[in-house]
Amino acid sequence: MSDRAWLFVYVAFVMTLGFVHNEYIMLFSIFITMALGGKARFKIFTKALLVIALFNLSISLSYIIYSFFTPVDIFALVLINLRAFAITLLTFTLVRRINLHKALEFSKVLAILYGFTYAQIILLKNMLQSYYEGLKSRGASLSMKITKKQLQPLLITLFATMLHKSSEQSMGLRSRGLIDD
Amino acid sequence: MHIPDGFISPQTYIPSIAIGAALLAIAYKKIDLDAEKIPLIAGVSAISFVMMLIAIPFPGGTTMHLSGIAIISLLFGPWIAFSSISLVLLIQALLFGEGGITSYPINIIAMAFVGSFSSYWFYKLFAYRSKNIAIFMAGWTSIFFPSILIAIVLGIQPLVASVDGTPLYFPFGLSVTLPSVVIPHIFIAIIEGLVTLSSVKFLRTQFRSVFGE
Repeated sequence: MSDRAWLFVYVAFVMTLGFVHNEYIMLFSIFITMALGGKARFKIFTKALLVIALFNLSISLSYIIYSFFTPVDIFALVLINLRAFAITLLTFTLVRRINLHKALEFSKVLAILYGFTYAQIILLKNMLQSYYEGLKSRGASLSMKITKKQLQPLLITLFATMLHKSSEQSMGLRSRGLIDD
Repeated sequence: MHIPDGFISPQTYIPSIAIGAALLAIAYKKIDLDAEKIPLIAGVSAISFVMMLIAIPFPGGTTMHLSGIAIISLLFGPWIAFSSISLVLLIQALLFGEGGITSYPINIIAMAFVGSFSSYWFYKLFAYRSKNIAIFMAGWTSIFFPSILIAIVLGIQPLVASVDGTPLYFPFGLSVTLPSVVIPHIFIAIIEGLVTLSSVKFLRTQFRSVFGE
């Protein structure tokens, strides 16, 4: 099956899971998703668990505390948490299994946008990482007085790089005739 | 502020998909995507993604993250900000699990659309009095108004989707979500306003030929 087909199956499945209110079906979909995860299934499982942990734990704990004061069905939390986990696991499995860029090729503009954005994110993220490492190597860290001495040089570097890269990509698009102006 | 997957009912996310898709279609039509605009939107999206990674230390050992929505909206215009931040939210949801896929349309309506346009219009509203106040207000509203919408969407879930009083999605009503989501964001928005003020003024000076008014 093509990457694009997988993407559509994924979207349809996620939308359907939203309508399901049965814990066993949720568990079944989690097992199926894990089977599709291949060798990386446990890595994906852990990642999905960590990603939902903070929000879901805070909501679940608040609801359990709330149940001490008001008669509510705390087992509703099982379904809510399983659904959140099932959808997140499915998302990470999809992203791991398919080439997202290829999957988005049904729209040329969308595929180019995704490719350019992802490339620039990696570039700027590495720059930010280097900036933090530079601060660390000098025994400094971002402080409350962040604005003038720390944030501004960082922003100028990020924006200058972004504008330069965008103009370079624009010339690339024109020279290859990928987008008709 | 991102709403994750599993907490929003189809009764809410299906109409939101229609609204979000219509807004994106309008945005791409307004921007008129060409060989110059496509790389610019990609770059602005990347900048906004990275700005969300900049953690500002907060008293008590915690940190807050910039949203950069107002900065992008004031420098590039609200439609470019809306489409760029929508793209960022999609990448965050798919690759990093920040915000969900089912909640994606709600996140883009609240954070990208309301955030971008409230900051732009509040800037316009206050600009004739004082540019500094206007930029600060733009930053403040870009957090405050989306937080209200997020709180409302979460808070109506027990009303629109529950069986015999048992919630099927987000379990708390408006009486809980409005104060617990909105009140902390009033203060976070002040920091965002200050950072927006400092950043926009600085970037307009440094890149006068690109962002100068």
